[in-house]
Amino acid sequence: MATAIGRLTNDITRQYPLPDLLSIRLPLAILLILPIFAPMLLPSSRLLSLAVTVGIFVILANGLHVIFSHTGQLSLAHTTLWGLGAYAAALLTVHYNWPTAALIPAAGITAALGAVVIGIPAFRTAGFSFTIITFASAEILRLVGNNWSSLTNGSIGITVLTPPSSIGPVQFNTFDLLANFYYLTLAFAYLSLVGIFLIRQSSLGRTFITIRENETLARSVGINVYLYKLIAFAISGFYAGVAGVFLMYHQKHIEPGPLSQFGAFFTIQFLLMILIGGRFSMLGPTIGAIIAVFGPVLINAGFGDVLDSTRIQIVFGAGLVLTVLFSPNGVAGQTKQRFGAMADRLRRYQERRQGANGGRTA
Amino acid sequence: MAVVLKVERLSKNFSGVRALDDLDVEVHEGEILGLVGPNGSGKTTLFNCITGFVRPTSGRIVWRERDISRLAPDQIARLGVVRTFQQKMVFPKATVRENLEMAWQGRRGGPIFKNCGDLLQFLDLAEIEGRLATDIPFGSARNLGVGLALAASPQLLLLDEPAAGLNQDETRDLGNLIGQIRELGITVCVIEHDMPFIMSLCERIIVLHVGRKIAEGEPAGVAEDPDVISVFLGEKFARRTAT
Repeated sequence: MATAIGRLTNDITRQYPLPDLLSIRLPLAILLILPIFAPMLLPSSRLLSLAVTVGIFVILANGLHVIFSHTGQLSLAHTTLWGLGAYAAALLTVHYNWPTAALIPAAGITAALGAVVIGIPAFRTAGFSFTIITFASAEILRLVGNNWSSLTNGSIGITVLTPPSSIGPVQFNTFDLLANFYYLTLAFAYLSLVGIFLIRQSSLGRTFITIRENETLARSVGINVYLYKLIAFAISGFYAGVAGVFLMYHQKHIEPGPLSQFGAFFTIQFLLMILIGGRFSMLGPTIGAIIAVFGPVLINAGFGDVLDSTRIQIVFGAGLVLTVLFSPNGVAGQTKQRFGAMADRLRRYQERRQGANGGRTA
Repeated sequence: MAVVLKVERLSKNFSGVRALDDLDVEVHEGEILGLVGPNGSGKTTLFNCITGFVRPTSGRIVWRERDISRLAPDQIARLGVVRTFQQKMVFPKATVRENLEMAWQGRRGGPIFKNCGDLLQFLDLAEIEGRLATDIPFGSARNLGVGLALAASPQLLLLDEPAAGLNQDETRDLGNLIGQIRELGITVCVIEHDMPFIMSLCERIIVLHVGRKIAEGEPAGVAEDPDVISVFLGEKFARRTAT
């Protein structure tokens, strides 16, 4: 499974007959092309706003994918790094009025540095201890944000009403030009996917997987496990920081309270997204993010009159548990399997027909 | 022959148990050295200390004039001292070829083999390169374990009981493989229980007993050493052979 992604990409580059086209390209194509039409397909700006959230979550979940799925390290600091990026962006906007093009690398690097600072002590340990240290670091960071009032405005948080800088004539005002902002977020969501793809193809990605699969063996053949874990964590942090910029623009207000998204608990939601989407698939986090955001909306649309919002959450949660129980490779794994089976049936059907024809001519 | 690895007065305590006791070992360039001894005599602990997986309590390990006793396992591997493991150690969920490609990552300096294909040929694994590493036959898995170490371009290869669990034919093939590895210019040190196997394979043997070296030398000489016989077969037997 570790190399399912590699095989999948190999498959795509080759030419394929119809059954395989169905099994591999169709779900992939739908998933990648459909979001482009979201502003036309979604009936309300509320739904479009949720689509923006999906875009941000995709960037964030793809970042977590690097450290969690590729390198096999369960970090609970991910959404806190997201917050770090968002705060860096907010402060640079409010005090120095930096343009978006500068904010994105700045926030990314800030969060990546945050990851390195957490990682340097945390990666001295492994397994549960590592997870606990990331959890503690995340909470400490959040509490610092909450209490360092002179810098962060404490629990009141920071409000940023500046829209993203315009590119030529195209503006991204999130109040009345939400579709434009959606496309900006979407572009970065695609970029984040390309990044994941490139990492997975590189020797760097192979080293990450080596660490996930067998750390002791990796060490014994000369891989500097500590260093590569730090690199993976920094990359993952960079993703989180970039997602932070978009969160700031989208939400226009960020705060570090105990229930904010920047606490360690919110990271668990992202771990769930990856598990639901598919841990071993390149598009797993993307699928997971879409389900996590639009799942409750769909349940609400179907059963909204009988269920209140808390109950919808319960139904949705039960659905997630069932998904994880019955498809350990997530929706992506399941889809691939199902479409694969369908392709097999089609292929067999074609063969049978050819066989029948052959019989007649002979 | 030049001494490449020197273990000096090495001791290792595991909460009161003395696994290695003031041990001195020298490995010569280009030889196949056998390391034998009953269970618990400290053979694997010695490997663990040399490769950095366990910190020695006292003593030094010098590899080509450099003290490596405080280095991390991956640093030591990159300096050219690579070990295999007694238990099956592979990257699961990956094919045989992918396993070797993964082990290829940590290497420093020029590879011994041009590419993974050559290495697969050398290990006689080319036919099953596409199979999952977790479900290949036991003998092939052993070869793969050796291959993972070879992918890291070792100058000194430490093999921990490579023949354990192999049948006679497989053991003979393994012996040939180890011979070929030495032909590549790699110094080899083997831990083994199978006495006929190690006698035929090695030029020099070191016998360990409760963390101490009790004999060292050519296989024939070591086999007649009364101390060695007493450790392996009991005192009574030793007395009988002496008379």
